[in-house]
Amino acid sequence: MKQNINRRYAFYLGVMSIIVITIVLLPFLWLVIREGNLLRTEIERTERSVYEESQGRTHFNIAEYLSSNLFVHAYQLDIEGINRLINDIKKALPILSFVVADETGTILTDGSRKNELYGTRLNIPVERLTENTIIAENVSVGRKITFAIRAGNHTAGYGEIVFSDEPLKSAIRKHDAVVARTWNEFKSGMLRLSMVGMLIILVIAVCLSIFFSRTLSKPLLKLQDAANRVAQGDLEHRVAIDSGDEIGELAASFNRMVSDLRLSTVRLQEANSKLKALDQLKSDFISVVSHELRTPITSIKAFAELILIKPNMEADRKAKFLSVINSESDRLARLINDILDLTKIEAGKLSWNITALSIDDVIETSITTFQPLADNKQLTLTAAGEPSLPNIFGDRDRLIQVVTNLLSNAVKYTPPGGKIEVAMHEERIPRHQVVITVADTGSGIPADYLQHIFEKFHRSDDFVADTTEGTGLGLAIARLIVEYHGGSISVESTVGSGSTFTVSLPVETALTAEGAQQSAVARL
Amino acid sequence: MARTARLATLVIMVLVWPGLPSVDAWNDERREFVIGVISVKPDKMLRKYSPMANYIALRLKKFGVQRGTVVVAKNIEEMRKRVRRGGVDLIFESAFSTLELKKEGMLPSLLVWRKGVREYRSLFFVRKDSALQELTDLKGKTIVFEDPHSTSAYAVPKAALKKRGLQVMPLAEARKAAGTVRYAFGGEELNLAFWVIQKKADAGVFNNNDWDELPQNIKTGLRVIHETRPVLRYLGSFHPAVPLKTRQAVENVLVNMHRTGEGRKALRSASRIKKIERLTRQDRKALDYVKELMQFVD
Repeated sequence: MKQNINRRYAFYLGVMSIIVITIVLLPFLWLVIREGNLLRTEIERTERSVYEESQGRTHFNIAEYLSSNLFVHAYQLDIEGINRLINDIKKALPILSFVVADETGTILTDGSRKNELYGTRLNIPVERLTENTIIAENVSVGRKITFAIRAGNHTAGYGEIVFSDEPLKSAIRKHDAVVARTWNEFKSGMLRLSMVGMLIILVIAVCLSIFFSRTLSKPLLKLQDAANRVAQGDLEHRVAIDSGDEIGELAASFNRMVSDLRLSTVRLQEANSKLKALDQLKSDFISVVSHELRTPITSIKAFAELILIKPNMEADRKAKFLSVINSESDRLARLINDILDLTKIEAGKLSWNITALSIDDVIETSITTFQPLADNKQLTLTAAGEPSLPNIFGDRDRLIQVVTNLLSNAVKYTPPGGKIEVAMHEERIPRHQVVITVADTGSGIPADYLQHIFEKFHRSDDFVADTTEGTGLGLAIARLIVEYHGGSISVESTVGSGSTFTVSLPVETALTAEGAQQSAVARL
Repeated sequence: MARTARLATLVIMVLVWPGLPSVDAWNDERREFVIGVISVKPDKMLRKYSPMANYIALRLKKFGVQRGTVVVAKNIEEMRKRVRRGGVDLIFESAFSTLELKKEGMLPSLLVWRKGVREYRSLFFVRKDSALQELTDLKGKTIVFEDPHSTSAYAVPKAALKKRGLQVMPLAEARKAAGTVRYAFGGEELNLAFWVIQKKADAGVFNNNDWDELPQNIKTGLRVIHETRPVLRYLGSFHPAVPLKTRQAVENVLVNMHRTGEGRKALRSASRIKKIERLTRQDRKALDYVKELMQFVD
């Protein structure tokens, strides 16, 4: 990853550098060279005109000099003197030809010994050759200067010189060569400088790319490392990047993500634990229910088979067997009803009939129901409580079910001669509630069982060995009903002394069926 | 023997004493050999003749000569004075000047092929279409000479004209005297031809060598009407003070100069001299013609 980013950034910056060089440097170079070429052309043109002007002045000065110096010779017809002057001038100057003519324009001498041009005529526009005037014209081999050999108003002849343009051309060539050499050197220098500049820019670009990519890749590598560690389960690891830029924000987001992930994981673990526990409870419940259901069915089946095998058995014995079958059937029916109730409550499918009710009425109805049973077992069942307790909101039948369940257990586990007392009172601290207690003088509940007494089918075998009438679901259902009403149920018990169950129900609690269901589910 | 020789020398010296122009012309203090020429361009002549002077001096060391020098006199009179002072050992001049200086005791003994020629003749020429046919036709006409110092283009032709009985006068003077041959100086040979051809003069004169060197297109416009007898081109004369042995030694050097490269170079430098010869009897006889003409020269 690191190498890829480095290479990628080096490539990007290299491409950018080339683009910058192409966009900026090359047009600049092109501009410099173009302007330089224009300047060079201008310099050459200027120098050429300077040379030509200088040459023109020189020609004029020479013509002037010759005009005055030739006069005496021409006037005296001193051909040798003219020849000497011509030849001296020819030695000193790049002259291709030099002829001197008489006043009629007929050539006297061309300076040579043979003087082959003698006698030929020059085509001289005499009217144009006034004093201090020369006629200059370009010819194929150079520049021709024609001048009058004059002193005052007297014209002794005419001179015609053809100057070679080779020295001018040579000078221009030399100058152009110097300019060209200088220009080429400048151009080469510019190109070298540009190449060096481009190289430097590329080197800088590569260095910058490495620097930037490392700057960028370092936190990314940290993030990668952190991601790997998180992936391996290290949810405590955090990325320490505080750059304040997008990478920093990414790191912060990553840290938040890991924190959230950690929290979610914890929650999931907790939920999983709960699910496992629930699953275990469910398995246990099914196992217990199966066991509980099988026990009466086994008895019913066994006694029914005995009756069927021996249809002629004694009537007493048969009645006893039928009585057992009937008792086990009742037990089975209760068990099934309790399971159904419990399931409905847990599933939130139980219908609640919430009304304002008097708790006195609930207690009284319950005691009335169990008074005969208590009497049969020679137990003392009494009710005590404050008068005029406030009404509460609740399902009367279900609350009666709670109290009767408590009374049933009290009657069941209290030996004859014992006492059962139902009391109720109002409390305002910590909240406004009605408290119902059912106290008996029974065998009491062992401490290890006491903490599971409100759980489904949790019964000590020793404790329930001789109490097969119970389903093991009564207190669990009672707890659910009380909790549905926003109350609580608890027990205090001492083995051999008896037990006291306490139910607290809040006053002025408005329950609805939907709220009750949600509350129940939440409590589950 | 040596004593007899010394005595003989003394006798000779006593005998020639009155004829010597200067007693110190060639004494023991002289350590240079001096060549003299006449010219109005001393710089040019010094450059031309110095190699020859050096060439000679180098070969006269056994005579005590350490260097050779050149003196240039602007005219015959100045040279005459130099001869009298003994300030010159060998003079190269034309036949007329040589004969003039001979009067000062100079001894002509060498013939110089100046400009490659041994002798020359003066040619009188006119325009081709001119009516002039002979020298006597020049009466009342204008002739152009080269300059007063020229032999072939002034002295000889002027003398020749006078010998014919013609009166020859400078142009300015002749305007007042009719029937004379008027003359002017053109300066240089080519000018003479141009003066004639351009009708500035009726006739001109210079030597046959100059005629030969005329451009053909000029020459075709001219016509020769008279030639003089040959005159020796250039002569070499020794100062009488130069000892005989030295003179003979110098003569030997000079007549053999053209045989060596260095000698030829020095000769060429000095007026394009082809070679130098000793004067023959015939040559000395030829000088008589010049002597005859000299009678007609002012």
